[in-house]
This record gives sequence, structure tokens and C-alpha cells, in this order.
Amino acid sequence: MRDITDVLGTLRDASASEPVDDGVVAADVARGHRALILRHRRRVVGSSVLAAAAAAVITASVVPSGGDSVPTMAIGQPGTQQTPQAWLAAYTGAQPAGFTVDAVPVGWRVVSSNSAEFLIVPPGTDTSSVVRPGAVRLASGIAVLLQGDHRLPSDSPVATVTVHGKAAQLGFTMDKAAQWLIFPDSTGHKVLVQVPTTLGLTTDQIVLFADGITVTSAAKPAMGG
Amino acid sequence: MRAAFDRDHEFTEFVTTRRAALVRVAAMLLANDRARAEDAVQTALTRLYVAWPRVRPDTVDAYARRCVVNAAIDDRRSLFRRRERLHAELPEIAVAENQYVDETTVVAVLARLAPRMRAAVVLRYIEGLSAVETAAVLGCSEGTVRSQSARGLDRLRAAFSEQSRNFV
Repeated sequence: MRDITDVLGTLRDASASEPVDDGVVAADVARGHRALILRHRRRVVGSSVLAAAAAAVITASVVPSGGDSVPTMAIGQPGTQQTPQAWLAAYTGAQPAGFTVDAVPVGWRVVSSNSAEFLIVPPGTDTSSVVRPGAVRLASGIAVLLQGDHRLPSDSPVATVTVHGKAAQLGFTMDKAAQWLIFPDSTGHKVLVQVPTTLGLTTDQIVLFADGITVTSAAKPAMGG
Repeated sequence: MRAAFDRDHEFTEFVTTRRAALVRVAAMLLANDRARAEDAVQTALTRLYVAWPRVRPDTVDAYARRCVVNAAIDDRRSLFRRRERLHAELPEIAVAENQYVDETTVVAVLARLAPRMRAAVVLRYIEGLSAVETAAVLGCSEGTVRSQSARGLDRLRAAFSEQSRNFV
């Protein structure tokens, strides 16, 4: 008759490690991404209340001279010491026809929003310099569009990341001026997120932003793309 | 603190190699209910992913097990608080003189132990962790682990009839 400790030990042996399906692992990663987004949204709601109160104090305490504009407090700037997830806030503006956008960088402005593209720029950007992607690179902001004919350079290193639980590619454009994140969505479309290198975004920040994007049935390729 | 950009790659590697073992731990804590065990592991891995940059590489295994144990205990509390009655003394289970103590019976009896006592027994005698390692997972002292696991074994042994016990 075996002792109870022997039987307990055989329970481990009886359930020897089974191979794990890649899809299961990807789903675990996707759940982690969503949890991060939810957490930063809760933080931003709290911090934006504090930020608004602090900005009101700063605004009230600065005395402009000669009609200069009152300085405003920039928040949510990329490349700051915020955690990757803290730079996004829930997007409550009008959704583009071609995409559903869950979160955008705090304080950024929408420049273009339609069935072919969704373009956003940081606060203070001179939008006269913004041009449409596909033909000339968008120098200042982030662009979301269908991949179309855009391809990452074959001789450039490409990192594999996970977006919506699926493998996605992240690499630099030929001139290194931007990074492209190309990922498949559940409808079979390939989405391209273009991020200028000058923004200094981390991989985590780019992936978190992309995780909040899905394609609608109205999406169509951008001109020149 | 680990670099954030490594998180997906490192987490994927960890889950690929350790997920099955975590499901096993959860199943033992949840009376071999695979569906609830899967839920507990998903909850635990989500917490682990969020905390990943703050978890030292040499403690990620213990951290993951702790998340699974906590998720499994939370599961039992939320679903079975009214229906489950823990027994201070486990009812005796008659076993024929020549019959082995089978795994199914052990798992069923294991499920009747108090949650943290059950966790101590599972981690020490099924997962094969040392008392120190088990203490790290449960967030308690080594002495507490030793007394909880010893008492758990005593109760498991006492649950089987006198003539089938094997005195060690």
C-alpha cells in the first residue's frame, strides 16, 4: 500500500507537460496587452483630473508680457519617463470610417480621419507641414492605414511583435525616418501604423497603440498606397 | 527593472515552457476541474504580464505560481463560499485492504482541505518544491509551510481507513 506522499508524487508524473498551442500563448499575450491598456486608462482618468487642476494653477500664476500666449503644460509627450501604457488615453472623438481606434496619445490632435487613413499629431504641431502618407512621409505624427503596396525593406532588420494576439512585423523604412508596424486584423486586412523615428516611441508604446486599432468594413487603401 | 521592449518575447518564452505546469497546479487546487483551472491560469498570466518589468528573472516562476494559487483561492471563495463546507476532520473513506490509494480519490480528498493547506501540500508533494520555495510562493514563513503541509498530509492519511494506511 503506497503512502500518500508517493501517490501525490505520481500526480505530477501523470500530468507530464503537454505541448502548448502557439495560439493559446498568443491569446495570453493579447490578454496582457488589454490589461495594460485598461490600467493606463484608469490612471489617465485620474491623472488628467490632477493635470487639469495643475494646469489651471500654472496658467493662473503666469503673467504674460506683451500679449504672449500663456504657456500650457504639455502632458503625454512621447519619450518621457512615463510608463509605455501611460501615454495613451481612451479616444472619444469621431471614429474614422475605415478603422476603430480605442486609444490615442494624450493631448494629440486628429488631422485626418476617413475610410483610408487616421492621422494624429502631437500638441503644437504645425499641420501645414503634414502631408499624406503613401506619397510623402508624414513627418510629425502617427498614421494608420491599410498596408496596400507598402513593404518593409528586405535588407532591414524586422522585429516580430504581437498585436491582437497575432504576429506582426516592426521595422524601419528605407530612409530610417519612420517605423512601420504591419499587423493582420481579424478580418484578414493588413494594417500599417507609421511612426516617425523623431517621436522616440518605444516598441511597447507602438504595440499598445496598435492593439487598440481594428479595421471596419468601410476601410479602403490610401491613395498611393 | 527589465527593459519593457523585451516583455513580449520573454513572456512568450516563459508561457510556452511553463504554462502546462501552471495549469496542473491550478487543477490540483481546484479538484481537477480543468475549465476553472484554465480560467485561474489565464487570470494569473494576465497579472504576471502587467507586472513583468518589475519581476526579477530569478523569481518569475515563484511569482507565477503565487498568482495561480491566489487566482485559484479567489475562484473557490467566489463560487463555493456557500456550498463548500470544509471539514476540520475529513470523513473516513473505506478502502479495501488490498486496494491502492488511487489518484482520483486523493484529488477528491485533497479538495476538502482548507485552501492554503491544500496549496502547501500541492506545491510540496505534487510540484516537488522545497519548504523554502513553497514559502516564497505562498508568501509565508518556512515554518508555516512545514506545519501546514504536515497537517495536510496527516488529514489525508487519516481520511483512509485504518487497515489501509501504510505507517512510514
